[in-house]
Amino acid sequence: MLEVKQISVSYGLAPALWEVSLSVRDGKIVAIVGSNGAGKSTLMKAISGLIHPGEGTIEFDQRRIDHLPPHQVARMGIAHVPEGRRIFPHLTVIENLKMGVLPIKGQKRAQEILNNVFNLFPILAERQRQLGGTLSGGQQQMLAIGRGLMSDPKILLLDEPSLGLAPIIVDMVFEVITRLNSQGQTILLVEQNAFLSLEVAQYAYVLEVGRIVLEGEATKLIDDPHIKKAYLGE
Amino acid sequence: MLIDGLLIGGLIIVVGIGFSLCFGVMHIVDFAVGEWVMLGAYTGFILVRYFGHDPMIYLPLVFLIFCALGWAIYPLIYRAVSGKRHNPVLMGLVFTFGLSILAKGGALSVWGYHIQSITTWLSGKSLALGPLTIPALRFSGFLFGILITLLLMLFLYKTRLGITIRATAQDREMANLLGTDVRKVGALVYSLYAGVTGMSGILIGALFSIHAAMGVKYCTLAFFVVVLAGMGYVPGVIIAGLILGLLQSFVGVYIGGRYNLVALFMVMYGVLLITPKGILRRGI
Repeated sequence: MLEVKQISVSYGLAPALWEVSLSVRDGKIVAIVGSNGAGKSTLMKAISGLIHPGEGTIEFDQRRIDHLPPHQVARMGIAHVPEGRRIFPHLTVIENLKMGVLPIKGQKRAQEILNNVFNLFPILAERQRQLGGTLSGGQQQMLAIGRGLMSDPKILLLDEPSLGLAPIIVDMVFEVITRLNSQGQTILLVEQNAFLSLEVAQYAYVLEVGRIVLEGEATKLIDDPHIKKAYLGE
Repeated sequence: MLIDGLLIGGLIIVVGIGFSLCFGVMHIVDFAVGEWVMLGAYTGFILVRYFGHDPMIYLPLVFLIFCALGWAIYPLIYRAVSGKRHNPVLMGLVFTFGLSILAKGGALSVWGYHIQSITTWLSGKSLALGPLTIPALRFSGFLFGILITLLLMLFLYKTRLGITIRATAQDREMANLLGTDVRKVGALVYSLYAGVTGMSGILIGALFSIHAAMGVKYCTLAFFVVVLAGMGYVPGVIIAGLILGLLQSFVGVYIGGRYNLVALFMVMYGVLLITPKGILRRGI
């Protein structure tokens, strides 16, 4: 479904990604594990069109998307939930969710998805009229994911969904990720928390200083000695 | 006199809201705001001279003309402020400053130094409200201001497009990620702003007088209102506009009209020192 082939990205003279390739197949959760500054967010931004790779191609459903602007990438079915949640602070919860709806989807479908989002996150239904900026961190993360889902995406890009959240909320977010996937949602997950993401993902890539150094089935990577040493603290 | 101030405030609000939206959504500080007023006033004047009728009936037409003008100019402004420039806000400022000089110079060469005025059927009439007499034209200017403000607020807060505009002002990149063509939103806002500002030009021209350099005053007023309201915070504009109107008439009556600008700048300076995010602390 999503094919990233040999992309390189640099900010000015500093290379951020170096010949990175990865593929995400329909219905899977794929995780990208790596420490701070490894280039994970850069990779996400390249996929969603916020930055354009200097070399390499990105294909989505057999169409090249690496030179499209973000709004066109979004309309093709890629929802990027960026790091830091990026809730519109002065819009209400329901207005934030409405911003996620693509005009091409139609009213009826939008209502169905909204019900599904409220089902996943009942707290959002309760706080519909509250301003986004006044929600707690965990609620904002739920809103950010919910807003991403409102476009009925073919693939959901989640960038650091556990960042800055209390452990109990992190568990809840990951439960939702698993649940979404069991409903058929394809997810590309970027996380510093390697253990959690390898637990929910089927396949994973390890990114270190801008290069993919390791990839494989998530269950196998959990037992890999390098991973254990570098990311799981064992 | 209190009433007088509030009445002028109504029109200032309209100019201020457009100016504030423009800054909020596109981060363009439009130096040419006063020139939109001036060109609107002249357009009204010309329409009346060649086609007759009352200037009031040309309000919708002038709105459309200036929407189109704004739409046509926007790609140029977008080029100036977008992409690889190091300081887009400054670029926008310089570019619109240039536009403003161009418009002023153009108006001067076409219409010269003569001061013109527009007369409407309301000119010289007044309304009696109990012990007060209110000039009818001022009152209708105020009503117009309130009406346009209400319509704009309804649009911004109750329609999907309005939500998109506010979201874009709050986080442009995020709106873009959610499938919003932010460039189109910018074009829409600029065109709406030009339309509304040009349209108010007719009423301002009818209330005061029309000349090529009239814009400077409204540019200053718009700046004042938006600084007081908090840059980019639209609802604050309403309160700030009314305060400005009051301030102007108080200073005009008790201290003297020529100290108006001095008083304005002193208040603006104070606000920037004490609460740079505006009196409601909601600016960017």
